[in-house]
This record gives sequence, structure tokens and C-alpha cells, in this order.
Amino acid sequence: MEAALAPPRIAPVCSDGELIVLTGSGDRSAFEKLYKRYARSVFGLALRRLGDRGRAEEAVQETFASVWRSASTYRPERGPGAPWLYGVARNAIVDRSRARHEPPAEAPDEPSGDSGPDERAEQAWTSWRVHRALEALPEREREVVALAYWSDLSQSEIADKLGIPLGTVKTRTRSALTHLAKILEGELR
Amino acid sequence: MKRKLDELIDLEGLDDATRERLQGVHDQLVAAGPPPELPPALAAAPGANVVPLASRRRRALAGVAVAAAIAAACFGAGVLVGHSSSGEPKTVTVVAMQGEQSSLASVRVGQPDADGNWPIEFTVAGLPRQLQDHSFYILMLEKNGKPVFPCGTFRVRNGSTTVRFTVPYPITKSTQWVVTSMAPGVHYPGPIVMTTV
Repeated sequence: MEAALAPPRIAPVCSDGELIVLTGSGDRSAFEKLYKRYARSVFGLALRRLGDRGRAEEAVQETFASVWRSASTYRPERGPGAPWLYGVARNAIVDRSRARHEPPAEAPDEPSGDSGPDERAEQAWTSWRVHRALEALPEREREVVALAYWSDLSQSEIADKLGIPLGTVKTRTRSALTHLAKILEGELR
Repeated sequence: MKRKLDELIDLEGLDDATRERLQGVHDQLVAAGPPPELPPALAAAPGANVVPLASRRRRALAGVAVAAAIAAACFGAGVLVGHSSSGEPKTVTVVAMQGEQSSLASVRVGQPDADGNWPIEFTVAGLPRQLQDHSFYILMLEKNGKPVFPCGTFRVRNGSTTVRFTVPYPITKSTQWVVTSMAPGVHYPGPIVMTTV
């Protein structure tokens, strides 16, 4: 008799909200998973806001210390985990920027072409979501996205660099984008 | 990144809805920019050495025997350094702590001054208010699994508080922090109620 094929085993993935709840009960491994998922997003947000790697590092440490302490105050029924974490990170970063008592930047005489506060906030939130979603991609898809979007390499050069056919690079990129779409649409639980 | 989506993937055969979906992701990737590389200092979450509270507590309780004179001297030192102030030094490390009744805390350690005094900021949540008069908590450093060096004393009224001390002991990544609970009649430094995680 032919043995029935077992379905592939997929490790259950905790949502951000579930990990925060577990962290709030003192679950260290849940805290570390959150850290792994969000450290880069927090660091990116802090770098963007503080403009200094050293201070951004401090902000990351303070953010996660704050997450550790205050996770038990998170209420899943009030909303998903990612915005809650974003709020904690933003507060830690703002505290860090206030802590230095830096003199305000001189007001420019001419209107700046830089984006305004609303636009900057939206950009920060977009980066946060996208960087968080990238962390959930399989390594080989993340790699091809990084090369396709943030290197100067063409798809053919990426194929050469990775030693895979051009068609595979394109398929992998499409697969990564599809995964990202799924994560970004269903994310932030 | 000026490349268009159709330069990165083949769009042939995709329906309009899928194209639109992938274009949306493409636009967000472009807007987000590259994620930063994490510096080595951030490779691990704060407080990476997990030690179960129960075993540490048993070990500590079994071995704690600090002479009263030394304890009093250390305690005095702790109070003295606990009141010195510092500016906003660069954070050297952040340590996570946990304890009984789901209490969670963090210790932020700043750079030491030229004399070797380390500024620390301790924030705790969920620690029960002590009911007896003249009770207090002590933040301490461990040596050989025992709470030996006091950093400062504090009280908690509504479960959470933030206190700042300076401590004269060298702080390293492997420094283990504990909080003990003192009350009248309790042998110094009291039982451990929180440990480093």
C-alpha cells in the first residue's frame, strides 16, 4: 500500500501582537523574536530621525527596554502589534532627541524643498512597515530584492553575481514581491 | 532606484489586479529605501543571558550570608552614590530584568565619569508595593551568584517607578543585576525578587 504523503510541516508563526502579549508575561524567547523582527526597523527609524548611528543605537536599546517593561500594557483588542511597537519606538527616539538639549536648527530664509512633517511621518511609517516585512521573507528572496532595489546591478548582473539564471532572478523577485504584498496586506495583526 | 517594475520581473500573463498589487509593493520598496545594516552592538536583544528565576533564587538564598558590618557599610555607600546626579551620558548597555508577579524592569547604564562612577537609570513595572513600614527594594550586583554590591534603594507605590543612581563598580556585559526586598526583621539584603534575564 502506498503511504499517504504528509503535508509539509510549517512552523507556526506568531503574530506581532501574540509576541507582545507573551513578552508581557516575561517570555524571553518571544521578546527575542520581536527583537529579530523589529531591530532593523527601529534602527532605521532612529537613524532617519536622529541622523547619528551612535544615538540611533541607544534609541534601539531604549525602545526594546521599554517594550520589555511595558508589553503587559498592550491590549490586542485595541489594535495590532506593529503600530503599538511603532509608538513605543517613536517615543524612545523622541526622548533620545530631547535628551541632548540640542539647539534648534537655524530657520532657513527660503522655503525648503524638503518634505513636511506629515510627509516625513508617512515616509517613516512606510519604511517601518516595509523593513519589517522584509524580515519575514526567506533569505534568498530578501537577497534578490536587496540587490534589485538597492544596488546598481541590473537583473543580468545579479544573475551573474548569484550564479543563477536570469529567469530565476526574475521569478524570485516576483515571488518576493508577491510575498511582500501578502505580508503588507495581512500584516500588523 | 529609478528602475520600473517591468525591468525587474516579467509582467506578461498577469491580470490587472495582480499587476496593480505588485506595483504597489514596488512603489513602497522604492519609497522605503534600503534597511540599515545593524551594528554589531545591536546583534542581540538587551539582556541576552537567560537564567531561570527559580534556580537563581534558590542558589542565591542558599548561599547568601553577608556580614552585618559589611552590609551596613555597603548599604551606606549605595545611598550616598544613589543621590549624585549626572547629565545625559551615552548609553553603554541596557539590561532587561524580570521577577515575581510578572514584574519587568530595565537598567540603562551610561558611560562612567573620570572617577569610575557609572550612571544608571532603573525603571521597573509590576513590582508590588511593600506593605510593611520601612520596607524598600535594593538594586544590587551579584558576585558569584550572590547579591553583594548595592546600587541603591527605592520604593514602589503604584507598581512602577524610575530611579537614577551612580555606582562605583565596573559594569560589564556579564554583570548580573538583582533586586532584593528588605523589610524590618529581614536578614540583609533580603530575598531576591528580580533577576537579570
